[in-house]
Amino acid sequence: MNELTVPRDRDFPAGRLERRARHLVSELRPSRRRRLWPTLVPAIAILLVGATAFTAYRLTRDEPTVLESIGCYDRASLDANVAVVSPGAGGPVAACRRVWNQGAMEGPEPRRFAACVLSTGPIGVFPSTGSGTCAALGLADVSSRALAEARRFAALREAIFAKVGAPPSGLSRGSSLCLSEQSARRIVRQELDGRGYSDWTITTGGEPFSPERPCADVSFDGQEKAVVLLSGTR
Amino acid sequence: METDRELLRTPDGFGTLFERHGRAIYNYCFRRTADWAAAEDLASIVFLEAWRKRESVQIHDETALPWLYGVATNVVRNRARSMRRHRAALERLPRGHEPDFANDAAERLDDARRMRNVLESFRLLPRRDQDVLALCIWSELSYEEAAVALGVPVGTVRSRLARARSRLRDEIDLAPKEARAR
Repeated sequence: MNELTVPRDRDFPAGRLERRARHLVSELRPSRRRRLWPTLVPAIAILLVGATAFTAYRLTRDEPTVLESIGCYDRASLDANVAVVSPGAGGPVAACRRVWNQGAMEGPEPRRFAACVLSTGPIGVFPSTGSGTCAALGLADVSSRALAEARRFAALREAIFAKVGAPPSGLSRGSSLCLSEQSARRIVRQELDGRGYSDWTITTGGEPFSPERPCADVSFDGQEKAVVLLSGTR
Repeated sequence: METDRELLRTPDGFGTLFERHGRAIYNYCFRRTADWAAAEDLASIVFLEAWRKRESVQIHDETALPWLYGVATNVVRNRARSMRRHRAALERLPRGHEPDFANDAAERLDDARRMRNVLESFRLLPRRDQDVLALCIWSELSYEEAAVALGVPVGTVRSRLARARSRLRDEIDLAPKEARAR
């Protein structure tokens, strides 16, 4: 379970626990303003909230919101075993076919697959016997536009990994490239701008770059639209 | 020392309850969101919501903490709605002058990056499995405490946890993700 090891517990920043406790008490004490507030909420606000929630529901149902990884399921069920893999430029289905080809799933490779939007945001790829697989699971099909975007994002990742160096993984030892933060930043910026991701930012995280940790590793954060450069060694 | 049940009766008592259990809820909210700043606001919201629901509190072994974890699970799941509902209250929170996380900014950034990587895999599980794993593994609740938090029988907690563990083992065996190697 080492991948699921989470950061250690931390305290609230100094003074915040006490301040929030005082704030909580002040909010819970009866006050005229808050007693009146519920009566002042107009029905139109409820309608607006409902419309917003419905819009958010539709958006999250129809479009994947997490592209950094996909789930390959070994049967058409949300309770099936799932392998989490990085997307490839060939698209989610091709990435999952590779998993089956490697013999990582039990049984023969299915002839057809369906790509669905999981309720939590990523794309899930399921063995399929025909149309309607996603609907039968209560999920939306991934639109062709979203599939194209997934392939485009995967191509960006692969291009950056090719130039800055892929991090080690369970199947490879990673690249021996060792680019400085500045060099990595320049290359990543070029790739982002050249591939239509100009609105993405480049940030750093983890331990600072230093003579002991001079090499840049790359991580992607699609939800923040950021490429994160992390210091490392080779 | 007053018991949790006694503290649940008054606003001042709730303040003390926050000082008693706020840290645990804060860390739980961080692990579900990978965002320390959001976790602070969500922890406050959990106790505001708990006040609304205090009539339905379940005390387990003299502590309200498992029940608070359950409130927190719902708050995190419906994060946007919870934030909207309590936005006005949060805006009344007096802001301090100290810089955020001045002493451990780098470590917290690293925490957030690591947690995002973990959640990337985690989000592929059904929500009910995410909840039971987060409570039993990350927050170290017993089966009984998790059952109180989630409002399900103990046997359901055990079976969900076993299934989720099995599925995650498969993922780890099969998923060469960049995050793992760091």
